[in-house]
Amino acid sequence: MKYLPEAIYRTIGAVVVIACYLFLLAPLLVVFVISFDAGANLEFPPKEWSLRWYAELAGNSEFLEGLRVSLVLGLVVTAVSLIVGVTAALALTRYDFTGRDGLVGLFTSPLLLPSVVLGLALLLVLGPVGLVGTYPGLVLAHLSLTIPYVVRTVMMSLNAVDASCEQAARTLGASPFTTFRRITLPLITPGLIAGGALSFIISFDEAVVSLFVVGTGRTTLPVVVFRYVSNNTDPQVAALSVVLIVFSLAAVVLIERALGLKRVLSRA
Amino acid sequence: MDGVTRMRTSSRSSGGRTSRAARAALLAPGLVAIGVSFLVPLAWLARMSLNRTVGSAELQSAVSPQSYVDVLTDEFVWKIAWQTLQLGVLVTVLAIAVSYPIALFLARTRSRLRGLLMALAIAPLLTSSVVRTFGWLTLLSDDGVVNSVLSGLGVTSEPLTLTNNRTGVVIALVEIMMPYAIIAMIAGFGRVSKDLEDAAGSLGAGRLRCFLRITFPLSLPGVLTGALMVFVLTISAFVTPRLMGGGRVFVIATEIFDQATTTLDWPRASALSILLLFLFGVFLVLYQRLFRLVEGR
Amino acid sequence: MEDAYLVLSKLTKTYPNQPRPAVRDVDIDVARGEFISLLGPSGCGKTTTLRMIAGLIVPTSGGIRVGRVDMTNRPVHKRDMGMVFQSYALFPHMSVGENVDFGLQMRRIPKSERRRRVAEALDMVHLTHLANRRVSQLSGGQAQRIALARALVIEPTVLLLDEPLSNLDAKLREELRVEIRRIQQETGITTVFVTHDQDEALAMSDRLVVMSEGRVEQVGEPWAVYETPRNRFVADFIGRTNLFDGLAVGRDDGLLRVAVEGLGTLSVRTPETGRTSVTVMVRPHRVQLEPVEQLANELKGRVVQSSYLGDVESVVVEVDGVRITAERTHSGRPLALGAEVRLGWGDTDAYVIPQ
Repeated sequence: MKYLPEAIYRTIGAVVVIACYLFLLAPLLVVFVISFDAGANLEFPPKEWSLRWYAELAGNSEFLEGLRVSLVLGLVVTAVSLIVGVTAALALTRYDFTGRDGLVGLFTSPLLLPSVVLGLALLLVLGPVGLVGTYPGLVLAHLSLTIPYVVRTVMMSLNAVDASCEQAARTLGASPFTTFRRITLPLITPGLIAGGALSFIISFDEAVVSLFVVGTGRTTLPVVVFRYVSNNTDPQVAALSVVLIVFSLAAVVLIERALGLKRVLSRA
Repeated sequence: MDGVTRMRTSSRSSGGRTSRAARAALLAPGLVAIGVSFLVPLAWLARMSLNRTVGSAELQSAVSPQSYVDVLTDEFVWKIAWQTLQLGVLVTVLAIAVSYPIALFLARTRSRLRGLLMALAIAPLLTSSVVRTFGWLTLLSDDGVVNSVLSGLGVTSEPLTLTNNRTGVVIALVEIMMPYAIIAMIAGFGRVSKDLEDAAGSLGAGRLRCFLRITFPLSLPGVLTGALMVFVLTISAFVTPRLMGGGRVFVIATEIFDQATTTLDWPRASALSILLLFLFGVFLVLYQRLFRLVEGR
Repeated sequence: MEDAYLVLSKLTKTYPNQPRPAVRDVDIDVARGEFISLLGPSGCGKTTTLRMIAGLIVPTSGGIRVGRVDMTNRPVHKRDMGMVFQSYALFPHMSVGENVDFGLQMRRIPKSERRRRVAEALDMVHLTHLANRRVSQLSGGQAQRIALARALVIEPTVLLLDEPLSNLDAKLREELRVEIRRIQQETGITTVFVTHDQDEALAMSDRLVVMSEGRVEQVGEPWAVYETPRNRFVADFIGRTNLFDGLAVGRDDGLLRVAVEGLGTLSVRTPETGRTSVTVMVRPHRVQLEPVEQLANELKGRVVQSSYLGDVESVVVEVDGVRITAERTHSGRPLALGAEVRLGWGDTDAYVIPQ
């Protein structure tokens, strides 16, 4: 019988974990490196470095238009989701009524639906009324993806607010609305920031539902990238991807600071 | 028990006409939004699946099981459904295998970097799957990173075909599903504690036996939840099978997309969607049974 | 009561899906400037009653009046009542000063006056130096003082205290007891205090309201409730007690003779009750161990339990199968288990519970 020393087990463990991390982060790292490649072929590691592809991005009208559409869409969707999410979360946490749990389920149920099915369903409805490829159509389509997360995040923060704080404000002479504005709203701000950032990035990155409902009209950035990548791969897409990753990173930092990434993203 | 219900009622309003009106006003925008963007489309989809297509692409309003009959008697549909399930199983097993070490590590480490490493493991979730798939394309294509490294080292003379086929789809999907698996597993790892392993160790169990007899069984509920999550997301994935498969890998999701946007056979696409939802339901029930079995021990 | 200020009449709260009302037909009159405590075990309806007074819970039926004004259907923020919560409920995103200022802002009081009144309120609780602190930097005792200042600065008609001391440690609790009572007497504010701690209630209140299962069991001054409980529940809940069930077997010269199984016949000085089945109450501190003088009731037993508590020693003596608790002061070495002791009490040390 031989016993391996503790240190060897630790080393093996560390190597396995690091390898798994590398696999997880490989595509993002590669995209990042390739985007600085001076050549036109995807070579790794690049022979020469440059910012050439970032410069070309700025001249690509298709990409720029996609970026513009995605930004506008993301902002509008986020604003609407926050309003809808805060009001719904208030009703669901501050009132006790039969059917409450059912409603919570309803608001979070779109999470369970495959995006292809949701995309098709939205296409079937938006098509006949002429909303395919329009801002209103895209906003509607993205709302079903973002509302569940915003409702959940805001409910989480509302549940964390001591109800007696709101009651204390009321006894001190604040009307229900003033209580909300002066007490509740400031206390759930982290939840609103996290929910808002999440909502923006979900909308900004969404590809599948958008692919169904953009038609030949307004096209979001992920759809532009999807179509571009279907036909050709070059470092320009890598540069564009880095731009997208930067947005994601900003969202990640915001969410992590405000509420914690893990709490916000677990679906259970 | 009594005290608990009272506490709950006292911190929330109930009854009263004004509070009921306020509640309705607060719920209205949300219900409208979810209704218009989710419930109505879903109902519409179900209704559409009962319509018929005549000729090449002419839609006819009807209440007929025709599209279901067509779908269920089509050998090609059976083939892609089977392939989808195979893909689901394969990706699930692999994704759990590579996520398990990370999840276990994150659940147990007391490192100061835990927060950062946690964020690093979950953050890819918030990057577009298009971007991550593109990353895999550049890694795995014929003149991609992996092949250039391999031929540079003289390991291979011919480039390995890792894109435009199922291999590429599997590799990329495994990576894309990892964050979901990690989150689900960490949440389920609550009962796995270092203390238990130490206790087992003090009772004379070796490292391997310790893992197999203590850690792994205790982590099974988390593994199961992670597996279900990965499985349902994989069988409905679209972006990665389409891009990595280069149009040569067919799954239910790509078929739905093609029927809806190319063939324009909406009843058939809807029937396929309902079929996919049905599969979802089946696996959800299966999961609950299994979960109870694993938890019940 | 002739000059009742806060009047609760037939106040009732029923919740759906609950068999018995949380509060049932509660009638309480509180005089202006009075300090009244609602006391009872958890779930007795005391907090629900307080919250109905505040307007945080809508009563199912009954009314609430302050002075001549009917408050029953008035919204919370128009009631002008100050409330202090068990969890302090300080606003975590505001400084101490801003917390105290909040109620004044709601009343649109000019800034200069607000500043003066906030300073006065903080001075009243001796925490002027904390005005700019963040709420999270306060200790429990400080937080509760600030909560009190915040409730009082608006000069409310009634002050409502919801178990304000239960999150504090024992020593601080006693200190704040005295302070709350001092401030209440200085300001002369009508106060309703909810607690499950009978010591608190006895020490602080002008009058007690003992509640159980949603109903008022007894209202009275602390000494009266303690010495002459109206029923078995009150006798048992307030203070420690010995209760003996027996039969009235005779009476002469204002002395009732009660036969109790195991104890023989006890003598109690009490007015006529007219009942044959009675309950006799004797407080442990009225029971003398090894009495030196002749007492109306004398017994012999064996010590079965003894807890040494420092200032007193609590002794349980078994007399023919009946356990009697006695308290010994200046005890020195505790009694040994199994020791034979004599014990007894006078005919005025016992009390016959009316119900």
